[in-house]
Amino acid sequence: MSREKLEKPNFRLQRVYSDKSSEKPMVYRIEKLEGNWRMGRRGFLITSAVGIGTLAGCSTMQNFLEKEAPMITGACEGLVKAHLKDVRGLSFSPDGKLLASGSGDKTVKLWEMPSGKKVKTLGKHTSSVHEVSFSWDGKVLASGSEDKTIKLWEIPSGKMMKTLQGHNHSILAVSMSPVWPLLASGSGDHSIKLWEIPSGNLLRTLEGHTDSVSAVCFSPEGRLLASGSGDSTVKLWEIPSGKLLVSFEGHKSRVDSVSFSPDGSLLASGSVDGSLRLWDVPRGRVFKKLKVNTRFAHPVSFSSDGYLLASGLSQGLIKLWEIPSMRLVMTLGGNNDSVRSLSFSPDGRIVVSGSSYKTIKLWDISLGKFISCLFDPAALEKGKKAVQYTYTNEYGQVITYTLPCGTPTPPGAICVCNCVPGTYSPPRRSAPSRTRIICTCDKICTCVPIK
Amino acid sequence: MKPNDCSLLKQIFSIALGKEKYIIYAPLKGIAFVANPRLVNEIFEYAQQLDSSRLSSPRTPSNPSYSKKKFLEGSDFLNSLSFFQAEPLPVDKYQDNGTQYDAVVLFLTNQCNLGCLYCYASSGEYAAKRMTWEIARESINYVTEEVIRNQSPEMTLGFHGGGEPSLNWDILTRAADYAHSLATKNDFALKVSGSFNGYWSRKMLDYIIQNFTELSLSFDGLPAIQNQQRPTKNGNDSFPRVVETLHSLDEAGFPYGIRMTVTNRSVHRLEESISFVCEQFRPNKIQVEPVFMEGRAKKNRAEVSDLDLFIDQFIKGLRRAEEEGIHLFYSGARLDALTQRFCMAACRAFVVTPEGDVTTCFETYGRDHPLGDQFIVGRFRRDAGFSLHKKKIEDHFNRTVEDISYCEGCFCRWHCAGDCAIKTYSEETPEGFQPTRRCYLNQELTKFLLLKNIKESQGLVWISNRIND
Repeated sequence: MSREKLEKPNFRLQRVYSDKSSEKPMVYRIEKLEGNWRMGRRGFLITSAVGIGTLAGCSTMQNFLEKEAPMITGACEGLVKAHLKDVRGLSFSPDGKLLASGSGDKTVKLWEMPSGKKVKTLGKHTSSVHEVSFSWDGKVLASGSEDKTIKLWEIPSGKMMKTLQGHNHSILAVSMSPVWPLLASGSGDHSIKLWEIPSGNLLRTLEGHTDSVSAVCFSPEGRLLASGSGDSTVKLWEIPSGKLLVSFEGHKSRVDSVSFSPDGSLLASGSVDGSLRLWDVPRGRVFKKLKVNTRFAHPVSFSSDGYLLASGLSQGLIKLWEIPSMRLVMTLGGNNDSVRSLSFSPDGRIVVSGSSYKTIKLWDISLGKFISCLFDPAALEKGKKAVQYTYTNEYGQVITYTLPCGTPTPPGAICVCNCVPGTYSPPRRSAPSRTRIICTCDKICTCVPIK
Repeated sequence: MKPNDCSLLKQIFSIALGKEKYIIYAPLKGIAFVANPRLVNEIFEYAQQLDSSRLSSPRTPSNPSYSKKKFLEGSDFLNSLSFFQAEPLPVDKYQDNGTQYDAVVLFLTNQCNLGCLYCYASSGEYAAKRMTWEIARESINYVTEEVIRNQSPEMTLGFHGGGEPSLNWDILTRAADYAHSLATKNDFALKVSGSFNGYWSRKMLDYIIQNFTELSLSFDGLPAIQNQQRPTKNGNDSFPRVVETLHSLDEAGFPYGIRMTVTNRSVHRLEESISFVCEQFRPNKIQVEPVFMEGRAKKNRAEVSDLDLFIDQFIKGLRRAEEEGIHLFYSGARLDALTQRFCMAACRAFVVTPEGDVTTCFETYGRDHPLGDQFIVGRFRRDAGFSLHKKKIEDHFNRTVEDISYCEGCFCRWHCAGDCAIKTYSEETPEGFQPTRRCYLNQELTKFLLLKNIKESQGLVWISNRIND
């Protein structure tokens, strides 16, 4: 078991306080232990009966343990951006080899995982992209935008397949069914629409919310759809009938994110009211609630094994909560950029977070460390150039980093120094693992050790 | 007994139950009842008076010159139990003679045919090691000589380790046969036991039933949990074959215990698992333990974080086991034990790893163990036999709860006795001790057992058999 700071126990006999100083010395009779167990009261051999609290009420884990969850820090170098505007949507392909990101810069980008290399930028929406979602087979990517459309993209070619129109307001949320060829979209028009994929046929419109639908998510077996809304409710819909099953109430403001646990028994919701809630799906009631004390939408995502829930906060922090205890197990942080989106990789090892500062960060949860920030040279400020590094990670994979010129070489990386975009190809130079090196990008790329 | 040890205030504990209710517990006497604050305060003042009188005049307990509180004068209840008479500390029969081996425990291999997600030894991830016959034979010889020298009536041969002992089958059978022959020749009794996973062939099962005295089998209960937590090395289900083993042991009437490990993934179904075992099999005991966070348990984040849930499930399972007459227990909460040591390994067990290293702990599977340096106390050499590091052995032997300051004020101190040495080991403290989250379990479950015993004693005062004896 893990080592923690524990207070020295003190159960030695000592004087105790009582506000019943006139009371006679008494012993209690224990009549029942299980459930709502009670004790009868006996004056020193005199009988009377009163109730007593439960056994578990005597002390709890919370006051017994003083444990601080570890804080893992990781910050992006100033020029390392993935998009030109905030990153609002992230989705892993089912095999975990691709990451899609949608941004306020109207673009959708595909990234190779775990190398982090940008694969391509898909054709543009005409307004901000709010959410992206891969289909169950990874062959289609959906993006929902403020331009009121949903676009379907063929993967891996990136070719646009269809533009779905039907909502008369921004598309704030999209989710692909993990089982069936179905897409759900939530909109500022208060409705949810179900679409057939890849035909794009509109199957059904679900109505019941009284404000914008800002989050949608299918349950793992595809028979339920959860939605979060500006009307502060979380609703569960039967799929494919579209029947409203239950409306969870309790949040005090817009619900911006919902995520099912892998077994479908729990639903997490994050709200602008600064709280997270776990809902017991089979029983249709709240399971746990947690005040995170920040007035910000909390993106939430379950790990694939269901034992961790990640939530993003406005201070650039990601908190990892153990399920079902909701014990904080790890905090990821660095920069103060609001976390706008996050997702666990399908193998549960990596958490990826998108921020209001245009960055996408990768965190290795199994090793408890920050990996890197994704970088697209196209997101560089005008006049800046980029260079490349290669690095063999602990799994033996060769990863190519593309970073802005002047960025310190990642530990253990080899400076390749191809200017990107550019034609320079100088010979490779190895760098000692602990030496910090600046890879400059002038006429020739050179690695300059820094003392 | 040191003068201070007879202080009543060090031998009587009060455990808050909630508002205005306290368990008064005198572990050395084995007396417990639930009192209101007024009674707690009266007992405290009276015990304080007695303590100070004793310090000034050693004869006062038999001839008190102090005035009793009025309520106590009128009651023969506590006096009849000699509640206010200080007791000697638990007897440690090993203390005078030091380590005297009468058990030889062989770790036959570090390899396993299962790939448990919580394996503390990360079995299968290190280079394969198998004990040679020479090491096994010499280990048995070493302890046999001690048994004869000390005129011990019995010797135990055990098989344990960071792997499945039956995978070194040839050495296992030779060791058992050899120990039997030595016991017969030298006229002492022999117990043969071990900790196994039960993933055996029929041939192994038959041999064990014939030649072993008892067994501990690791089995996690419900099929889904057993298969998830204890899959085979190749990732297949282990449940069907282990169940065959358990049924065969039941058919043969062989005495065995089940060791159930609880993780974050199984804690919510612990009661179900216990019920399942109780319904399907006939073990004479079930030991339930939260996973020890070492090896693959760390990697797989298996730790039971919600210990209150563990307690709740354990208590429910306890009721179920009692209905079936099966003894269910957790090692840190044992009211029946009054001891200064959690485990007797350092006193009597000659524990040998596959490489021939001698350890004082059943969990130190070899030199790869993170605390191997601390717990390995000897080594076998072909030319010189076993050489033991006496100072290290003494250090481990001398670890008793009396020397752990953290435990001074804890009512569990003579039950869990500072808990498992390796789980609480720390190089960072002078005493080499650091409490773990198990303390919470130990306290809460011991508290529950006290209340349960009080309830079963007509609801008022529990007096343990120790006192009656």
